[in-house]
Amino acid sequence: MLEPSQRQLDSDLEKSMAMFKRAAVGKTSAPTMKRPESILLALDGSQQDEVGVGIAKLLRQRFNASILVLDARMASEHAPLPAPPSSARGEEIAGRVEGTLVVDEAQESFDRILHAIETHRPDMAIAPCPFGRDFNAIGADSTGTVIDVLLARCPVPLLVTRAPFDVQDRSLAEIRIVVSGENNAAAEAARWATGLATRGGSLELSLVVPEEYFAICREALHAVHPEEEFSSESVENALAASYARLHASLQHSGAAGHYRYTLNVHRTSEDVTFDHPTSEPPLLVLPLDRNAAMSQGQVHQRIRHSPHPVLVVATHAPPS
Amino acid sequence: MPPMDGVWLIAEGSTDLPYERSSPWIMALFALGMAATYVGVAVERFHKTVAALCGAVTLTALALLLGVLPEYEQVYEILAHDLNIFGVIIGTGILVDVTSKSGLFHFLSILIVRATRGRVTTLYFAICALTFGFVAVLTIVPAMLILSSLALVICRSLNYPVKPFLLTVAIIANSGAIVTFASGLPNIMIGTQAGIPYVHFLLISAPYAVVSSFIALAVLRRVYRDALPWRQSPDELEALQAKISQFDPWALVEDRRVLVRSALILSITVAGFALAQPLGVGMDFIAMAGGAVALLTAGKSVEDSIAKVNWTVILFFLGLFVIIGCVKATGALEVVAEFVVALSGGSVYALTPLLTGFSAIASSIVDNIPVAATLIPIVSQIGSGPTPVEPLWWALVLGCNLGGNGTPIGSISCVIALHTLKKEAGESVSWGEFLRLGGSIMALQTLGAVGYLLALHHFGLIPSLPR
Repeated sequence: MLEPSQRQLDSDLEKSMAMFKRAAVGKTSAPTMKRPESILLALDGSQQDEVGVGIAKLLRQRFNASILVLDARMASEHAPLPAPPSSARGEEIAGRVEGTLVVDEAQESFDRILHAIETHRPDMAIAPCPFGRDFNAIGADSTGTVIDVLLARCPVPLLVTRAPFDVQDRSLAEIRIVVSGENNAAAEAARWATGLATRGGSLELSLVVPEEYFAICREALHAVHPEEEFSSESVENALAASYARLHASLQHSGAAGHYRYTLNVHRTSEDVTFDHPTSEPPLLVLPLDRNAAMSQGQVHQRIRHSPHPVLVVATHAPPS
Repeated sequence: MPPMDGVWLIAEGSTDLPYERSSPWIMALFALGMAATYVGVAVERFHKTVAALCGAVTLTALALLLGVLPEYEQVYEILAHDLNIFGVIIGTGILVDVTSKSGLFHFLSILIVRATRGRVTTLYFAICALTFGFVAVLTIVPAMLILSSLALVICRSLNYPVKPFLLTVAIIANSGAIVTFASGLPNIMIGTQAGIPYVHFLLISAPYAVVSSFIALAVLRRVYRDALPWRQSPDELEALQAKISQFDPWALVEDRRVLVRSALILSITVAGFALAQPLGVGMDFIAMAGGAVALLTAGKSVEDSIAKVNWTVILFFLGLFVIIGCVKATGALEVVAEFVVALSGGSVYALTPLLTGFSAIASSIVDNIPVAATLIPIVSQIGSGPTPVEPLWWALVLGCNLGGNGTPIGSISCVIALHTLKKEAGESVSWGEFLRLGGSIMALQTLGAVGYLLALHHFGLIPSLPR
């Protein structure tokens, strides 16, 4: 048999060994699922409110969650609403979702939402992005001030709605946890993702090696050891190894919850075309490590480039 | 040198020669060309495929110039005869790559290793069994990569010396390589040329594969009687159990559905090989069908899987077949066959040990593919006479594979194991040490193979080949 080259042999052997090392995870069990019992639905008066309503109703049906409706609209592009806000729209939506209208007198939309969370302590908040603006006009250019602040300070998982779509019973059956690099919020994101997963649906753990991160590492290593080759595979293996326990525990949850679980390790983010989603878009679950600048940047970028709803699960907000 | 009269009688009886026999100097020239190619293949300085292709180009040109091949189209006839081998290599290459990517074999490895609870005796024999099985299904190189890395990781985890495990894996791999038609390239070449049905491999070579493994294990167990802690206390076993239970086979699986699907496709393909002949299709069809279905389910890695097909081997074969075809066209191989028959008196009881021994020794020194490629037309020529050819084909199968145990360079499994041992564990194995270990195993296995085949022949247990 013609033998492979030594370099190929070493590379294949390293890959195979890395795979076996990934198996050394110790005893694992399925993550403790987290499900929302109480949800805050923030309205901005735009077309995206309907998506929020649809998702809130879906989650209420699935988990018997109570819905709190907050009208957090801004009166105009540059001026906040006068207090107290008009509640007609909020009452109408609260009636449709069989929820409760909550009010807050804060001037800024983000303050109104944060105060409501602090007062009523929901498990999850739903807000449209961009908040108070036309989605099609902004597109992937910005997440907007309100979402920026909520990402920095919201103490509960934030489900951000993006492009409008018709919410059906099977919507959000496909869930994708997207993790780039080390992230302290990954385990918590997995708990929420497994809690939201549905029987017959799917859950994917997508471990992404950001292209720019790989390029920086390669340049740095090449400067120190010019003769060494630095392959993306070794970085992917390292990333997979660091999440081996999480992966193993999600395997258990998939088997127990009767949904399809897969692991996907790759170098660049999956290209997400900015097409409007169908009635069954995937729910992206992004862990946000608020102490890591790279994590913050990536979450912002993913939200901007995603037409699909995004659930952001964050570590505790640092003291302001 | 003029052949003996008796030999010419045999030659006159031969109906296989499509061309006129060339003059002796032309035969010698082409034999020299083939020998030079083999030297090129054997030495490190040249890339084997480049050597084969250069040899093919040179001999083709000579053949046309000297009238050995009347016209160029005959080169296509030479290659057409062996096209099915390319189909098998391509199809199985794709199938093995897609299946390996699913994590199936790594999963099975950890599953079985965990079941041993880390106890050295059970672990040692479990790894041998895994080697045997994986090589039979995957062929040597992919199986060796998996088993070498498994041995390394597990031995490091359990604090066992890695050398006994790696060398055992290397030697047992050569036994696993004779189990089925698709276990190794020499088998594919011989099986295709001889028209050996897949099932015959399971009837004839697979049992001896098991026997040869036991021969090897008997020697290895004795050699390593002090190298491994064969007797372990209950406390030690408990500690080992705790360590080995840290490994979760499911952690290696990225997608359970893909794993199950891969296992299914592989199983169906293997079953298809066994049913190819009754179905009236070639092994290449089964291999390509299996590969095509695997690609259908490969998702995004289709390009990657196709790129993993060993095109180097395919080009090497291309060159080799042309070389041998040209040499065969001169009648040189027929002369060799006649000489061999004359030497042995045409007796299968002499030819079998001769072929087994020669192919084993030759395969321990050079790559077994050129050895098989050269001996195939010779055996085919012998078989066109009154000598029963079936034992001779099996002699070739067993000899070409088991010969790999003879020297550190005899088989790719030994090359991989020794390289891994040096690189990862910093341990070297001298030629002397390996010759004593592997050489003695090879000698015993080869002697055993001769006895086995002659016994089968004597009792009429070797099935006849379809004509």
